[in-house]
Order: sequence, then C-alpha cells, then structure tokens
Amino acid sequence: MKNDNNEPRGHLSHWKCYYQTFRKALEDEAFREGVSRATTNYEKGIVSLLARHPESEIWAREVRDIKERSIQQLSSLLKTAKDTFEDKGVVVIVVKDKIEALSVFDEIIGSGKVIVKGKSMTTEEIRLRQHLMERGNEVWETDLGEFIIQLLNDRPMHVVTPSLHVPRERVAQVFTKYMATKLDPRDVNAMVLAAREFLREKYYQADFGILGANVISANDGVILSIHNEGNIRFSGVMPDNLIFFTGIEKIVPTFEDAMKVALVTSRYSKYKVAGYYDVWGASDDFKSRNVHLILLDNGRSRMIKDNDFREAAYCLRCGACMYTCPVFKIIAGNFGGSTYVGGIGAIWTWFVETEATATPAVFSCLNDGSCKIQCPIDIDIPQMILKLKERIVNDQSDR
Amino acid sequence: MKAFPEILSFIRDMIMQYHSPLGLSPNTLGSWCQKPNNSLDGKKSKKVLYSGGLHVMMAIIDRLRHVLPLMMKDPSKEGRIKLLRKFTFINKRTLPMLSWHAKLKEIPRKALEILHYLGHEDITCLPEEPYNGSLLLELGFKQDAVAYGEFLRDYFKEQNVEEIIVIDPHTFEMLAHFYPQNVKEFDFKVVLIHDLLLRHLDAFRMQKDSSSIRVTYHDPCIYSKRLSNPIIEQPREIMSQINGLELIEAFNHGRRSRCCGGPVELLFLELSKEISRDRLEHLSQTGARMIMTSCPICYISFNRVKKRADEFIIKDLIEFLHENLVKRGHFS
Repeated sequence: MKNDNNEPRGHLSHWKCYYQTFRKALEDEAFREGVSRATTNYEKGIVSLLARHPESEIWAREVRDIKERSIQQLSSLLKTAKDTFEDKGVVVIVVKDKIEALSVFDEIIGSGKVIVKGKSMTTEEIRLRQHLMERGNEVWETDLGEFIIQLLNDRPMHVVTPSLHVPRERVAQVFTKYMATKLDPRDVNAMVLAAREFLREKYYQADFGILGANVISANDGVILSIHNEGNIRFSGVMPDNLIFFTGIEKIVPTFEDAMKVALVTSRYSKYKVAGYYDVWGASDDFKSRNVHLILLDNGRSRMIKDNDFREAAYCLRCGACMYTCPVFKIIAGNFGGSTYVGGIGAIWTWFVETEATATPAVFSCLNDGSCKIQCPIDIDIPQMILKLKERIVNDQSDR
Repeated sequence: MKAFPEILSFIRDMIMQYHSPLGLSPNTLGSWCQKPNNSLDGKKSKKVLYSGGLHVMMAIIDRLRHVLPLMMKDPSKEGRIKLLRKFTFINKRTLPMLSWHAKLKEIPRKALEILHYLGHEDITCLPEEPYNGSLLLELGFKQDAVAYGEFLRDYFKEQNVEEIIVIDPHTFEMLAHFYPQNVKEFDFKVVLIHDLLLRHLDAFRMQKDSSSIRVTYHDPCIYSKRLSNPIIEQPREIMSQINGLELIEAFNHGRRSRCCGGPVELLFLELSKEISRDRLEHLSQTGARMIMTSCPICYISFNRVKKRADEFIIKDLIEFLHENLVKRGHFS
C-alpha cells in the first residue's frame, strides 16, 4: 500500500520494502557477479594507483580543508556565485526543494523538446528525466552507463558507475531491441559504437542540454565537469539552451580550489587522469546563449546547520566508499536510499528524502569503518550512522 | 508510527533487565570461569579477566543456527519476537546448556591459563559475568549504554576490581573507550591481552611438532579500523614467534580488512551470511588452511558459512597459542 507521495505506508512498511528489494538482489546471480567484478577491480586498481601516486593523499587533505571552508561560508559563496554568473549572462536560480525545482524546469523547457543530459545524481534526486518525459519531452541520458539504465528503466546503483550491476549480455539484448541491430555481447566496442551513433543524432536534434556539476567556483564563475566519454562536452556545446543543475554544496571559492576538488574526485574514482575536465563559463560564450544555473537546496541547508551531519555535505561523490563497503559489495545500491546509496547515501537520504526511507538503510550499515578509511577527505560516515541510530531510537522512546 | 523493528527494543530490554541480549544469566555467561582454580573462591579480586559474556553467548548462538532464521530473517515480521518476550522469565535460572560451541566457550578459560603460565597468577575471573553492553551502543541506544556502564562500574567496584584484562575487540572498545568517556568514575585499568602476551614473546617461540601450517589472519574491524591506535601488528608479532607458522596475508588485511558480516545479523541475517561468505572467499584465496582471528563474532560468522566442516580451520589466536602450550606439556 502506498500513500499520495508513492511511498509505502503502514507499520514498518519501509523495512518490508527494503528487505524485499535486497533479497531479490541476493538471489540475482548476474547482479551479484557484476557488482563483485566492479568492486574488486576498483579495490585492486585504487591500491595500486595510490601507491604510485602518493601525492593524491596530500591533495586530498587540501580538499578537505577547501570543503570545510566552503561549507562554512556557503551563504556568502552563493551570493558571490549569483553575481559572477549573472555578469556572464547566466540566469541563476536557487530552489528550495524538488517541487520548486521541477516547476522551474517546466517554466524554462515547457514541452515537445528534445533534451540531452549528462549523468547527474542531483537530477536523479528530483527524478528530472521522468518528469520531463511525462511533460511530453524527449529526454536522453548520454552517459553510457546512465543510457543503459534509462533503456532498462532501472535505477543507478553507483554514483560513478551507475550500471555496474548490468551484465554485458543484458546490455546487448536491450541495445539490439532499441537500435535494431544485432549486437554480440562479447563485442563491447561494437556496443559502445552503437550507443554513440544512436546518441549522435540526438545531440544534433537537441533543444536543451542539461548538465550536472562536479564543482563550481564562485569567485571565477566557472563550472567544472569530469567525464570520460566526451558526452558532456557534446551535450553542453551542441544545443542552443543549456541548463546546469546541481546542489548548493558544490560551490567553492576559487578556480584553483575547484581544480583541486576535481582532481581528487577523479583520482579517488580510480582515474590517474579522467578523460575530460571541462571548464564552463571561462570565456564570453555564455553571453550569446541561453544558459541557466539552477542550485538545489532540498535539505542540504538543514544538513549543514546540523553539527552532527555537516561533514556529509563535504562528499565529493567519487564513489570510493561504496566500492569498498562490504554491504555494497553484496547488494550494491540497494543499500541506501532511492537516489544516494551506501552509508553516505543513507545519511543523505535522511535529509533529502525522508527519515523513514533512510531508517532501514541506517540499520543495515555494519559500522565497520572501511568507508571512512577509503574516503579521500576522511568523512566519518560510521559516526554519523551511529548518530542517526540514536535519533531513530530516541525519537521512538520519546513517543 | 514506530520507526524500528521490535527486535531492537527486545534486545535493549533484555540487556537492561537481565544483563544479557539472550536473557542468559550472568552465571551462564561466566560459566567458563571454573572454581576454585581460576576464581579466588570467596576472596575479592583486583585483577580479572573479563570476557564480556561474548564467548559463551556466541557459542550458544552458533548452536541456534537453525532457529535464528525463523526469528531474524525479515525485520518487519515481529510476531515471533513478541511471542519470545513471553518466555524471558527463563533467564532467572542458569540454563543447563546442552549444546554450545565448546571450543569457543572455552577460549576465556584458555586465555586465563596462558596468563597464569606466563606468571600472571594474580589474575582471576568472575563466575558471574554480565554482558559487556556493546550492542546497546551499536544499535543506537547510547543513553541506555551509559546507564548500563554505570551498572557495570558498580558491579566491578563491588567485586573490588581495579584492573580488567579483556580478550575481544567489542569488550575492549566498550571498557577502554566508550565507558571511560561517558560514564563517571569508570576508572579501571583496562588491558588488552595482546599487550600482556607481547611481554612474553620468548614463551611462544615454539617449535610446532608437525610440518608448517599456512595461516591467514582476519583483522576484526574494531581493532583494525575503528580504534585511533589500531591493533594490527600485535597479533602478527605474536604469530611470528611460532616456528612453522607461515602467515599469508589476504589482499585486504590490516586497515583494509573487510568485515565478517556479524554486525547486521540481528536484523538482516541473510545479508550477514552473504558478507561472511564473501569475506571467507577472499581469505580462502590466500591458499591458507587456517583462518585466525581474535573476535568471537568473526569466529562464529565464518564458522556458520563454511561449506564443509573440514573446509578451513577457524581459530582464535588464544586457542592456537593454548594448543601449542598443551602440546609442549604445559597444561593437561
């Protein structure tokens, strides 16, 4: 039984849903194999990468300091960002929640448009693709992993590798269906090529590009995106209209700060150097285009004001903590909320979704500490999970 | 609307009321402590070896492996837990435990025998052992954990205890860190057995009577990742004294060690078992025949997911040291 917000209703209903969902994952051998392969590859790769590049840890400590300072002065950074981006011809809008965000998108885009999207957890948070499609738009995810998720009508299982649980056989099957070409699951390159060809046409047709942001410099008015496939560059350059959509916590003071954040994010995602680091807004290009920057709060201010949880807002979304989490290794993104996954995802879910949704995830955390050890900026996820448990049981005791 | 399953409040109530999550009496939890050799019969002891009730409790849980899935499979099904509440009166007497994992239950006694052999004859034990309280903290009942710490403090003070020797990570974390930081006058000297063993490394420089054995060590999470001063090298230093013991490290060891899955078994037993299997698989990739650890929860978590009884030998470090001293004729 579900309520008006399509959430389960009834005594311990969230627990029941959570249990049933992860049980399915436990029994799905292909899912388990995909997750195991991805997490093991990450672990072996990151150990070797960090051993070869010990400077990464020094950068990571600097980034921790940048994030602490940035969150501390977020109100003034938001104001600065608004001024600098508006000077460059960008329309800046700060939205308080999902409803307001979707309404702003409706106003800008309307219906009947073709839209190409970069991968963005913030758009997942408000279910933007689904919403825009319901409004009569044609929307395409251009990140290969996210494209697979879209075609399968699935949900991302990881912030960096959203389709890590999908075996190539299933990809070949769905691509064959959509692209009307028989694809061999052993030929990964052919599948990548097929997706590129399919999406290339969409870039040319697109009225709007929607991109997330890995980090924003307030003082310099630039946005940084990290990607590996070139899709973000296409999505940002080809359409006349461009919308950047991200959380307010992504703002840092300077371009140098932003570059350091981008380097550490990609390094701990297991890339010595990522495929592309795009800097948007450095030239006068935006003045001749219709560009929006929409910044979402949706519980982030509440998280930042709460001393016990402010640290969660420092998260770079590199995904390192998830790959090394023993629970994630078994059930992947079924551990966490409906958007943000893993231990850090359980904490984020508490603030950006509902406390009830977060509760079973909080109690499925082992508190073993592997996430904190892997986190480049030493976010104390286990401690915050314990604090949430305290709030849950105390809330119950008070009633 | 209630936010969490009945089993959590049940466990909390059992610990607060009966001083044991399973409702076992302190006599049962302390049943490894045999009179008159180990406990100072009738006398007050200053130094005690305290197991936190964990070894006996896990030894019993191991034998409940077929019953537990009925109670703990799906946290949203609460009927059986509510029914169980009606039978908690049985805790009032010491249960005659006909079935438990005998080797695990005996580890605290073996630890005490080793310490006596090493010359620490002033260390004794308590035939009535309340539980260490760690589940209260892990499940979020911090206020109850503080109150429970006050009870433990008073209990130890009544027994005239000044120094407590602990042998597992959960008891160590509670007694050496949480209670001193949160409970007034919880001022006992808490010593981890590894520190005592390290003072007597010569005693363990033993020749094994058989050919070499390949061993891998599973680091418990509290020792390797949760403590600000991790306990990673200490067990390895002790193991390095044993001739014929070939330590083969898993890819994930030390700070990168992975959890045994035990902490989520109360709510998500199937998930817990899958995590245990995954970790066991990684450990088995070393080619070692023996998996050594220092935590009764890890011990049982691995033991219950072994495919065959002879697949691996799972041992606690203390159990291993004791066996070797027995072979050398130091104990009967």
